[in-house]
Amino acid sequence: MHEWLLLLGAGAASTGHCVGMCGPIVVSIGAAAPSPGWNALRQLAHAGGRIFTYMWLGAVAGFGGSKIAGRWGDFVNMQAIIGVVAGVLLVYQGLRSVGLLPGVLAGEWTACSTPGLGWLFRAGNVRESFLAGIATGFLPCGLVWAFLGVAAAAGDPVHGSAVMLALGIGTIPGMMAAGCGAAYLTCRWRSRLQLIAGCCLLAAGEITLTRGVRALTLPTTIGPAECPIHATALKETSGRAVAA
Amino acid sequence: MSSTSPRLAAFCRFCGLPVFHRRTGRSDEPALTAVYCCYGCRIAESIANDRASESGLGGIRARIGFSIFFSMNVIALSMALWTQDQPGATPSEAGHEILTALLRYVCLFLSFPVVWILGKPLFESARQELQQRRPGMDCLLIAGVAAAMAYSIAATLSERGHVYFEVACVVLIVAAIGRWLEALGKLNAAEALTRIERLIPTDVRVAAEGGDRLVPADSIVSGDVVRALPGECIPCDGRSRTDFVELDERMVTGEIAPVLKRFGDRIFAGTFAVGGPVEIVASGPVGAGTLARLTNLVRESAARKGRFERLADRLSRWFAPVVGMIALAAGVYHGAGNGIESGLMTSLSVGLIACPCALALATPMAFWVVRTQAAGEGIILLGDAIEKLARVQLAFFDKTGTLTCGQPAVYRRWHAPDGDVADAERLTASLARESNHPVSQALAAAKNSDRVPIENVVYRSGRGLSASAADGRLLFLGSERGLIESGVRLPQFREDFGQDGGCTAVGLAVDGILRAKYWLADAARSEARDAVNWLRELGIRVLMLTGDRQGPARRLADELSLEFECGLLPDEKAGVVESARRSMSKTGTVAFIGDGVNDAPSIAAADVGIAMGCGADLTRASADVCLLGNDLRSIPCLIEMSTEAMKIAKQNLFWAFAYNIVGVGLAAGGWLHPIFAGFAMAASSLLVVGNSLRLKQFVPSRRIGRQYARTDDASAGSAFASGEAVAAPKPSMALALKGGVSHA
Repeated sequence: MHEWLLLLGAGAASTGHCVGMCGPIVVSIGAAAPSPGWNALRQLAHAGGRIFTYMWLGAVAGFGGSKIAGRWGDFVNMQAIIGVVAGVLLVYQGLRSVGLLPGVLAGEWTACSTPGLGWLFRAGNVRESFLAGIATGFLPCGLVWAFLGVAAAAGDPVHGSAVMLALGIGTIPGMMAAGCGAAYLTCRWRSRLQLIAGCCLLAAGEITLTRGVRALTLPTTIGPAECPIHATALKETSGRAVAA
Repeated sequence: MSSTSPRLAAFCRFCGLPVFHRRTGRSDEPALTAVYCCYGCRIAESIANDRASESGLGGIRARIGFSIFFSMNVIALSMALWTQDQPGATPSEAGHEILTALLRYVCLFLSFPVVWILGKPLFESARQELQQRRPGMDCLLIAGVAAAMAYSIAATLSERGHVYFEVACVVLIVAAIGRWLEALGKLNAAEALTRIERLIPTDVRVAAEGGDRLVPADSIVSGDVVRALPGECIPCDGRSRTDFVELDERMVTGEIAPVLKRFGDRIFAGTFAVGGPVEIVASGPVGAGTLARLTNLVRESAARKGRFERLADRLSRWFAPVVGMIALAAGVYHGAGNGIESGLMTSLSVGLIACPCALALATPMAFWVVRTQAAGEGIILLGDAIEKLARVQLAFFDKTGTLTCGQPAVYRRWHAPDGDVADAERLTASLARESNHPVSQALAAAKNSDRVPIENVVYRSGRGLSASAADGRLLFLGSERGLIESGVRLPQFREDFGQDGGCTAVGLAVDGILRAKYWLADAARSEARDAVNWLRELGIRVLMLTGDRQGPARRLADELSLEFECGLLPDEKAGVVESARRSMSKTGTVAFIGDGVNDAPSIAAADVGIAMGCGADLTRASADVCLLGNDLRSIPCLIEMSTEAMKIAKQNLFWAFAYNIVGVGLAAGGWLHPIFAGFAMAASSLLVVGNSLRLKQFVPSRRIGRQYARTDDASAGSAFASGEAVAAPKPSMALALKGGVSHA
């Protein structure tokens, strides 16, 4: 259960990063709203669209993970390898977030600054906000990719989309607040949140990585279809294995 | 467009390409309704309207967006179906079956909106193709999607076999997005043209009794009094109601200096009021104005097809039926061997991968970019000039008004050895300013020396000017005849004067003694040498044809190091061009560059006739290329661009052929899933569009531009040993446009 909390927390605490990346989009979506109420509705629609895309990507990643594991599972424990890769990605993002690695957190690419793409994220009403949200979800983002790694490691579409849902729900409060009002976050708070996010990511990454590595070292005890994070059976098995 | 004609040519509402089809016999048929050459243009038009109406409810973006949303759901559920790993599935067979059926029904209902939203325009397009009895790829596409849907619905209802809802959805989306991007490319290509069109304001000021009124530009009719404030664009043609107003006509004539207009003067749409407000009486609606005619000409000229375009057109006409047959054959073969599903998917793949868009767009797209880019630079390509321009081997230039400015400039000067040079120059300039004669204008512009007061100026026709200076000296400035008649002694006059290559000679006498002599000749344009050299670098032989005498012709030919033929009447010029064209018809083409009035026969005789300084009067010469301005360097630049366009068109054609042969082969062999085939099709069209759009970044091998013009003044000076060109060379539209962006 605590992994889910960590994922949710990583999403929530990544607000600083999300607002930096996608803030201009939510602000522009809310800017033309006739009233704060409508704005909130637009923001919700946008968040809904975004999370829909995340979940869809999670499902695809989960499906892809299961396919890969199914195809190669006879030779190597693919599930475990994906888990390791996902863990490394999470740790990498975490290290960048706490500032131990150079560069801003996955902020290499800002949609609004890319000429010719701005129209994708413009919206004149609630319905278009939802569509803009769907488009926003597809934006290249290191954080999303790291989570997609976890979704792929989950090894089935439903769990994959659940992982992405956790991320999406985590990002709602910050993004809603950014869209509804203002520069509520000072730089100082943003950097503090960034630090918390980094810690959450590092912790989640560490757990995923450890599981993957353990599964790799004990390939015979783990079926390829099981998920290193979510399947409790796995935890028990590996726990037992370690105990043994 | 006669009603008896079996083929009716209409122009695609968006891209202006002609649409041929057979009349079906119904009289109410599409002559007046909008016709599009392809699904992409249909989409492009809706995007263009969309932009204007701030993306309304039926916006293409929203439609594609929602289709994507529904398709994402269908794909997610299909994945669940594929894994047979539904959430909550109980191990019992019955529950499993029910869940599978449920998921299928959900997929079916979720795919309906996609088919409705994206299938409808495709269906419309296919219907239009069928109506024109020219079934194309849209028919194949819609048939494929319909087959996939029908099979899947049957499978869902009978609970047997696989469903392919996601294939139908993704195929529709990929086709729509691919063509949408293609249409954006087309819009992008026409950008230079729309930039010109946007100069016309949407609302214009009409002078009314109670003051000015803003009305939509479209509502202007003949006789309206339109007012333009300084800096505003004049929306329609008309006559000036304002006396002494300056207009910036660079958009229309290429003239960069403001032009003074008097009451009743003709004023063109697309010119700008400078200095003060201007009122004009409209002579017609905005759509009939000079600027609109200019852009319309460019669009219409895109309809004239060259050799390559005709080839691609012929091939793409046969394309869809052939691909349809292959798809059917492959489908039957695979269907017989591996079951009906396999046959269906193979047919769909073949139909999808075959991309006549790439074939049909290969040349027109590249040429369209050149046309619009050239239009933006003040070069109007009227005929199928691009293919011919790329093959030019021999370029004939007219002399007067083409290689030269058509106005005299001081070419050489001489001063009496014992006199005050500065004083003589001052007197000449002051005296010359008193007359409007071209020679006087040249002399007045030659030196900006101080002015001395002049009195009792008498103009003697054909002879010159006599006057007295404030200090009482008697002055005479004029021709040999005038000088002799006023009793000036002219030692060795005959030896020097009038012998130098057909120059006009003028002398200044002070108190009956010759103090200075000036030789004037028609000056070469400052950029002429550059243009000629540039053409030579491109491997083109350059020749000058002139009706002038040997002397002046040789002088100019020597200056520009040109071959020449002189003493030719307009008909003889045309004869020379014609015979050159005949003798070179196998190896290349012949261009003639002239001013479009007295050179019309030669322009018509050449493969590529280029008319200079067309200004507002675009159609006066039967030219293939019209230069609005007078910069000769735009000709080699255009030839370079045409060569590049041909290169890109050939690349496009090669790619389209190669892609189709390989793609159809793979698909017919059953090695390509329809979804990937759809993506490959979209990618191939985009490749062609993107490759063509590279022309927008085309950089000529030499610089033409503002900076060039500045350094040019110096070289103009050196060309004329001690004199200076009288008429400043008119900068090209290229300069004008680059300098005139602030208007837009």
